[in-house]
Amino acid sequence: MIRLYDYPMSGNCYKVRPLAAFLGIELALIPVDFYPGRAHRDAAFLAINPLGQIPVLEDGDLRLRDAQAILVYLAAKYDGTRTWYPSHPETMGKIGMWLAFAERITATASAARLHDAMQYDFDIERCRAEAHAALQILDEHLWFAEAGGAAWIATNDHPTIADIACFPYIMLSEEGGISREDYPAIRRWTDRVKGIKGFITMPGIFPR
Amino acid sequence: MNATARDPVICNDWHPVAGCIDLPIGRVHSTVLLDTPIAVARRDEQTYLVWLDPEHRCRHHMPLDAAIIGPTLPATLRYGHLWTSIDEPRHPLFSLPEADEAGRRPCHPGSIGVHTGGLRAIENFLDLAHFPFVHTGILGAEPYTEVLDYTVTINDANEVVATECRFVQPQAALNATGAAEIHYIYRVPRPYTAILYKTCPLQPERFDVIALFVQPVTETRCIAHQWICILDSSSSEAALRQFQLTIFGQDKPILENHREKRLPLDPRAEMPVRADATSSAYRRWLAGLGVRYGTISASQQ
Amino acid sequence: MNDRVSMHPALAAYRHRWIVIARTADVPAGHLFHGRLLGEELAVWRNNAGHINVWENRCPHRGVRLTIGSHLGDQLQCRYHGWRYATGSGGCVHIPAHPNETPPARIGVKVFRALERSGFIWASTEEPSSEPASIAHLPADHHPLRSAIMRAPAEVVAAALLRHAFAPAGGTAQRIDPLTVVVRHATGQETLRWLIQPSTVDTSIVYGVHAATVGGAWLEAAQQLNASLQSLRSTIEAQT
Ligand SMILES: N[C@@H](CCC(=O)N[C@@H](CS)C(=O)NCC(=O)O)C(=O)O
Ligand code: FES
Ligand SMILES: [Fe+2]
Repeated sequence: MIRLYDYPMSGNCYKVRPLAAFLGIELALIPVDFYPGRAHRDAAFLAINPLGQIPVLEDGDLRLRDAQAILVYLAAKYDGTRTWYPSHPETMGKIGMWLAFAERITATASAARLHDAMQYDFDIERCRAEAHAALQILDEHLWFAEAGGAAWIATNDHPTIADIACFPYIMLSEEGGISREDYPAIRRWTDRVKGIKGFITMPGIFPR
Repeated sequence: MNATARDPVICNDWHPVAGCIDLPIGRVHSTVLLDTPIAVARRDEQTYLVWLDPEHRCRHHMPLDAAIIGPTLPATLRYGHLWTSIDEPRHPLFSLPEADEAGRRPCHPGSIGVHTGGLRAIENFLDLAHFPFVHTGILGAEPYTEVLDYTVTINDANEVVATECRFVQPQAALNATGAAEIHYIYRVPRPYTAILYKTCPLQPERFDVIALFVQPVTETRCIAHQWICILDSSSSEAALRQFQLTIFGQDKPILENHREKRLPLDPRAEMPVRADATSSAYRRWLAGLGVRYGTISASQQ
Repeated sequence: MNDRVSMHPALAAYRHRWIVIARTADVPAGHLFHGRLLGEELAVWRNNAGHINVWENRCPHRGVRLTIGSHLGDQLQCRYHGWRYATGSGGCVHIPAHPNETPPARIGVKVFRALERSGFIWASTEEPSSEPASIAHLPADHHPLRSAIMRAPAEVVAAALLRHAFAPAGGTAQRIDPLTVVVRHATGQETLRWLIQPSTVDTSIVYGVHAATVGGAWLEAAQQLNASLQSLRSTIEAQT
């Protein structure tokens, strides 16, 4: 069975779980005591991921770190219809761009949440300001996508792994003191993500 | 700090400021209690220090150094946490006899910062009716939404106590194997402390103990320290923690979406029904104690 | 109990007006839209028939935001304890903790007056004196633009819009009421209209309406106007 080194409150680990559910993949979850245990910094875990970060996925002999890389792999390998990661060059380019944007959301909104909820020592005002700047970019993108008839971040009529990668830390932003009140196009899009058939939640994110 | 200066009940009480597991020897833990920046450290196996750090000079996790230690505050280690008071404590720390009972396993699931007032977090901990909607499939599930009448009293130690609480739960604890009607007793010894006793899935005649110790950071922010003392001896520490954190993680967005982060004490401010008997008694009790920090009094309403 | 938050005097001046609070497209079927009306937080949603509800964003039970709840078609359900409120009246129709009892009639969400016209949703805290000109005379064939949220009072935003104008060469800009600026072509034909929502005392939302342009040119125009509006926003915010 495919194994996921997982922590239930991590938005990055969560990214993998809904995609696996959409694709009908069963995951064996291996709990990593990220907080308060800091087990991702133990020698045992550093041997699995020298960056000391979760998630990590193991499928047979393959070991992958980084949520975005894991989404790419699972969608390319296990999605027979190739809708989650279409093999169309322009779309692949766009998805790559928004997967990198998801990292930006992690670096800002997730950092703000780690500061406020788990006592991390970050510059909170800066995390919040940069998160707002990122949300502003996405809201504008989604508004014009909608105006042009597209419902999803990188595609018109079906969601892709770009939507999954951007979703968690946007939904958890309030835990870092970042309101989504000013981003109506983002709020409509998060509703659409929750409406995907087979959608699953994590603690901190309600179903629709 | 104005709000605390006006509230001797809370200023002269004990408050948790860190879980033991967050206090490695020789490292500073920087935090805020009642709008007051403080620092906490463990000097050696036995010695714990808490001091005022008004200029916020102590960074989180910096090495402990005599030069950075400011005016000290009282420090007591109990129930897996370090407790202090920013004034003179008027009472000893509340009692929790189960903490010393043989065969129990203490576990600290983690301290979580929440964008809400601490009294809201305590009130939520005392609440049965939200289980099917917030902890769906774990602590409750539709159609089992009814809250049967239960009893709320004030005991001889002037604590709020709710007994005869019952609820049908799909997975009452990590080691539960199926749905069961679970019995609860709640105890509120101090305004920012609540303890619950619930049927242990493996030994139905005994209770698991789950405590919520809330550190009021400001009137609208808090750190929720959970502490459990249960009879489950087979689950791993990490799994126990993650079960508790999952439950709390589900409550968090509710707590952070109260329009008023402070707790209104005027009984007309919100709309309690019979199921809210514990909440109503808790608010009346807070008003009777004269608690102001973290509340909206009838006159401010 | 409903008037817990006393309105700021600068906002009270707008009390008897219809205020634009969203575009029609901001509230698709099934969505719970988090909005504002003169400082008050709103939960805006449509029932199955498309009728718009503009409610205070506060569950009367324990004061949790209704916008985190669920849309049940003709009822809105609070996330915390599952209380359900009926479309139209806002009255509480179900309390799951006491499933066999009828909820007391006095329990209900505070409901605001609402109106949906010309692609926008309007609301009012008090009996409005009349339908404002800004609704009645909206150009029939128009496209809404992306709104801009500005950290500045409505008065400041209105004045800046009038100054900045976005008018075509030889055109004019006119403030036809305190919250509406109309931009006209030299021929007198309306090309643009800005509707201002005083959402809080120091935050305003600007909604734009663009008279229809031929073919696909609208989206391009909307993009340019969005960029201009965002740069006006930076200028205004830098000054306040
Ligand atoms: N690029 C990585 C980032 C993962 C990440 O930030 N994980 C967090 C937990 S959600 C973590 O392990 N942080 C520890 C660290 O960065 O030191 C991914 O997307 O998977
Ligand atoms: S707060 Fe809405 S149902 Fe309890
Ligand atoms: Fe809960």
